[in-house]
Amino acid sequence: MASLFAEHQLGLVRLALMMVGDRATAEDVVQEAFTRTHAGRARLRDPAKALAYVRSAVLNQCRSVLRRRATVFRKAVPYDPPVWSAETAALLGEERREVLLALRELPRRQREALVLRYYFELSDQEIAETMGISGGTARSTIARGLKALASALGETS
Amino acid sequence: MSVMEDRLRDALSAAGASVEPAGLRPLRVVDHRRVRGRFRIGYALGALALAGLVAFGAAAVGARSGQVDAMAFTSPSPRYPVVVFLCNAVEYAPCLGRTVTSEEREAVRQALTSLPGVREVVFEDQATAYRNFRAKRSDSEILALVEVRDMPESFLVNVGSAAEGQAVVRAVGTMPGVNRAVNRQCMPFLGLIVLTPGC
Repeated sequence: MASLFAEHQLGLVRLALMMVGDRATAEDVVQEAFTRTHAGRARLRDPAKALAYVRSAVLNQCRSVLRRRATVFRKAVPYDPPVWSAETAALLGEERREVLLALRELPRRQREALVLRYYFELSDQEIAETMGISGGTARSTIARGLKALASALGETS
Repeated sequence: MSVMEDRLRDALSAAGASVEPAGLRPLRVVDHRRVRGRFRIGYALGALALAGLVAFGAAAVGARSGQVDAMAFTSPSPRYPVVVFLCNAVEYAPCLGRTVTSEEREAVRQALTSLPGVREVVFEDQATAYRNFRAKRSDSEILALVEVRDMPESFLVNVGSAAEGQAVVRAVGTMPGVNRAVNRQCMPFLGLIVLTPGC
């Protein structure tokens, strides 16, 4: 499990980045997910699904962070400007920033599914395993997300 | 659709590239469960109840939906010492976002009732768990965060002795659909010492 994380740390941090927006938090998220799953390594029943498992742990951790940010820690924890903020627009360009901003506004599941598909290029089945949903649900979530994104950006889909 | 797909791929790829491999903080191996395990947090809540600071920490725990069951551990000699928490889609490992199936639930129930030392098995559904949880907590921040779907289903098990309780934990703790089984008689006191013989 430890080697799996080390090997995929970069990808996992990027996955977290797309959920929480900033690198420092993303690294914390992966560390936390690593700690939790490492602590529970004895219970991993299917090593073949290990990568889906660690991605899933990272997404769960992201969700915790977002939920905490939205509520209890709203004022307590300052964090770096997210990738979709105006500060980073110079780095990525305005067009990309628009896409990331629109992505952020989508429901969590759609956002997760779209990142898993269009950044990690996972199959419906892999996405389903990572998110703990069925293949059909993964497929329809992606389609809905893409449609919502297109309409938010005024793109003719 | 493909224009949108291309734009999304491009934006994500640029965002991803903003994190370079160089300079990633190396991952540390910390056994978190020793430090912040849900039992100890649960005990800290029950035993200390130290006003502000603890309340703040508790809010953080409550915010982690998977850990709301921490609040269950408040009574030192509970009627049902063993609690078998079943998988809930909001949980971490080993549930992997999958809720226990009815077949798995029945298999656990049968395993429990066939074990020696088990006197009574009671199923607690999410709605009941949520009601009990609400009844025990008054802090509105936690109550606002926790929803019925965050609560795990569980089997509450009455056993004859602490040792029999441990046997139950070992027998069902790793069954499919089980998140974890705990024996409240064997919880360390203030996170330090187990006082009950047989643990």
